[in-house]
Amino acid sequence: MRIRARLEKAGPARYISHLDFLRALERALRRARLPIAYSEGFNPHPRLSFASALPLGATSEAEFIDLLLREDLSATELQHRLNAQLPEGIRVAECREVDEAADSLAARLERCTWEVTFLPQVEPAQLQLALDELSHQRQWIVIKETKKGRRELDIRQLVYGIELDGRSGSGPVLRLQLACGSKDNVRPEHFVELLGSFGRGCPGLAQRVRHIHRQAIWCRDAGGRLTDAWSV
Amino acid sequence: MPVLTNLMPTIGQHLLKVEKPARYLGNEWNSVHKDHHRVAVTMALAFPDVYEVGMSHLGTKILYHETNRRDDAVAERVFAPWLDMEQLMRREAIPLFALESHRPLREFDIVGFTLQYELTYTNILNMLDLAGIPLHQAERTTADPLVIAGGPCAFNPEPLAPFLDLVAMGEGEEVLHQILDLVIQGKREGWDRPELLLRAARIPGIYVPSLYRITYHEDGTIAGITPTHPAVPPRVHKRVVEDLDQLDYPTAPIVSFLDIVHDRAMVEVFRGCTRGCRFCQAGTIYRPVRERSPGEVQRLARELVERTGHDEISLTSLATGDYSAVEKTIRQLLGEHAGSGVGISLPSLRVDAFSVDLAGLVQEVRKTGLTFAPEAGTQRLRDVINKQVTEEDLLNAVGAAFEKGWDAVKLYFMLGLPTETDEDLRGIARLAGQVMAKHRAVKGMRGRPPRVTISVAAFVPKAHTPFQWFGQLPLEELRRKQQVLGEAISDRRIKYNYHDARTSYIEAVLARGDRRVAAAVERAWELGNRFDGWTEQFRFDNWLQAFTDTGVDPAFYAGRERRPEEILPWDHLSAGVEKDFLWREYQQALAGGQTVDCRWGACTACGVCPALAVEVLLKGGEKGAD
Repeated sequence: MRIRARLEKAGPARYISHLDFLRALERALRRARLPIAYSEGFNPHPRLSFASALPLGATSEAEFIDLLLREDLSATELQHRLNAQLPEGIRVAECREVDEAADSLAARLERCTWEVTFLPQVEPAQLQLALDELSHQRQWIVIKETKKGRRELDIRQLVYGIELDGRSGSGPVLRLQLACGSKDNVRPEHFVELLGSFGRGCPGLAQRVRHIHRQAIWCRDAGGRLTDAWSV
Repeated sequence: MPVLTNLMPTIGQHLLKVEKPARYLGNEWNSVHKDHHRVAVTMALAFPDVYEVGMSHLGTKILYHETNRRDDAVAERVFAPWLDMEQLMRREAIPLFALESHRPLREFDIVGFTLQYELTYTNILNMLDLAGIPLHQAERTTADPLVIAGGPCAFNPEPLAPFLDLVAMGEGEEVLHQILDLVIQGKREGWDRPELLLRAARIPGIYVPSLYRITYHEDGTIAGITPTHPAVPPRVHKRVVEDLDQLDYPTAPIVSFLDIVHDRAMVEVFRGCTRGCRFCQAGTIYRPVRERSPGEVQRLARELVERTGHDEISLTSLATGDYSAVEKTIRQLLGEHAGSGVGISLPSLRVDAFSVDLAGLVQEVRKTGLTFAPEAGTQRLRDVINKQVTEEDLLNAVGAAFEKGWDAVKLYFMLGLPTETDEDLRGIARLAGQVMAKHRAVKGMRGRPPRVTISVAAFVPKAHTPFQWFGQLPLEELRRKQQVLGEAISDRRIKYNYHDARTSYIEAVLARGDRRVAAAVERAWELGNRFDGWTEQFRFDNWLQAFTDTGVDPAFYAGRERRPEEILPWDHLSAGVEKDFLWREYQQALAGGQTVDCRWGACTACGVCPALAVEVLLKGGEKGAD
């Protein structure tokens, strides 16, 4: 049986790295005594898979995992028992049974919606100006640090949505829909750095980010349609 | 009610600027968060090294649990902030804080350091300084926390004497409560610091350094150690717990987010070791052997797995192969847990085929390799140190390991032991060669080539051991020996590791230093030393500068052979083992005579059982190997 869960990572849990988050989850599963299937071998691991790693420091309401169970269990009970064992800031918000034969979420992942909140000193008008200038550029070149070194990448075709909300009381919010996954991946920080390099009004913009939040993930279903994580 | 300071809002603004911010969160699973207004006493358990090291320490888990199970007390944790965090804290004027409440350390009633290793001493001063607590005991008042210490190095805490209010000797489970009660009473009745200390000194196992006067001969040796008050005991004996089964064990210890050094459920199967290795301080200070019963071990393991979610149970002790119920216990645990993906691990292996069988049983195949510690390269020298391991034992052990499929073997040795000659060093190389030959004999030319590593540490004589009188060899001589050994290893497939001898030299000064050495520790810290135990942070030149600046002669402490009648700086501190016994053992060592383990042979009259009114307690109901 396969169960898909949507987790939230909030508060102090945003300082937990992806690997540490994974380990915390494995331990919570064990404490909750859930009938998780284990991998074979000398070092058996619970069969769970993540859609996408979250950068350290970000919060999220869209951390999707798939769990393989060796016995049937209702999604509600799993959610309830797991939540009782999760550390502060980590919570299962939603749980559903999915087709055991379905592709992994990681393989289907296409895009993420991010909310980037800036410090209140950042003027929405400045941001708007920078966005306007950016829209006139033919190429959006960012520098990606990879294991092989620094690499230039044009992300113009990988940014699917930009929305500025200047009315928020805690500082302007940029809502971004960016490519995400193993094929193409744009981190919100990349976009903010790019934006900071345009427009006379936004120097050092990357240093004035208050908070990054993953709001949703989007997948491609078998028919090629873009859909939410529950429908693949 | 006083307002409690919570530094989290400030710290939170900076956490993404430091490496591994989870070190400073304090909200891990099973962490205890109490309202400080509702307790009578607050204690910070301070581990003077980085989070991942400190969180692996069983003693801290025990004290955390012992304190927090009281309704009237709270214990929180604090570790040495890593260098990036320290820099940030100093820049932003953030004082050192305890992890759970993020309250400044200086607002706690007690700050308790564990002394695990001499090279953490500069970290202790650094942590006090970061906390804004006066370093010197004499400068502290009731407005400051009571700064206390315990742990193995508490058996000679003299190089820290001016900085500590009191030192708890031996096992902490019982004396801890007496300290907490005393501090509560002191707060209620408004005692000043001197009154509190004088009363503390009357608790068995509590040593108050400031209540002893040390006088010196002209040659720098000690003339006398005398209490300055009639109520203060001339000699402090360590505390021991009679029966481990009576203790309330921490079965819900904190589960770290970070990958810490020992990230597993630890069950302590026994305390003490009477194998009698003459270089080993643990072999003296934790005597006598007291085992936990197999049923209790099994119960604790079950509870630990349930409450932590760990997938590995570690049976800990000084030498788990010596636990009288070791095989039975391992089989029981495997039977109970193997089905749920929980493994068993043994932290230390004895040098014999029986231990390899045990390792095979728990399938440590998934680990990198097996480690054995013959300690010396020839039978003659192994007799001197009373390491009762023969060449045959070692070859049987590695033979069994190769047969079971291990190809990597690591061998630990010491260099610079009493009576050692170059022949003994060449013996190490010879032994490693025989291990290679054993692999050929067992495996032929089939399969992977063996990986044999020899790891050699420079010997550091420690207080409360038969070698406490021995003068450590000079640095140049240690280095020459490292080279002699290197040249004696002809097989290039044998990997040879050795530690920086300068580290061992500083460790030797601190391990047998008196309270005059404290000035050098303070100076080394002022010069910027911290994390001295971390190779890349160790600043030897600063230590030499510190010795010069403070007029401390390091050779006097590290390299000088003590005379039998000399008063040693720790003579007023007793592990229960008599100085006469240690001296007899030293003489036996020089004569190459051996002493047997009192668990299986006659009583060796070390003195610990009568002195502390305890006895050896074996609970296996089956004969231990040997």
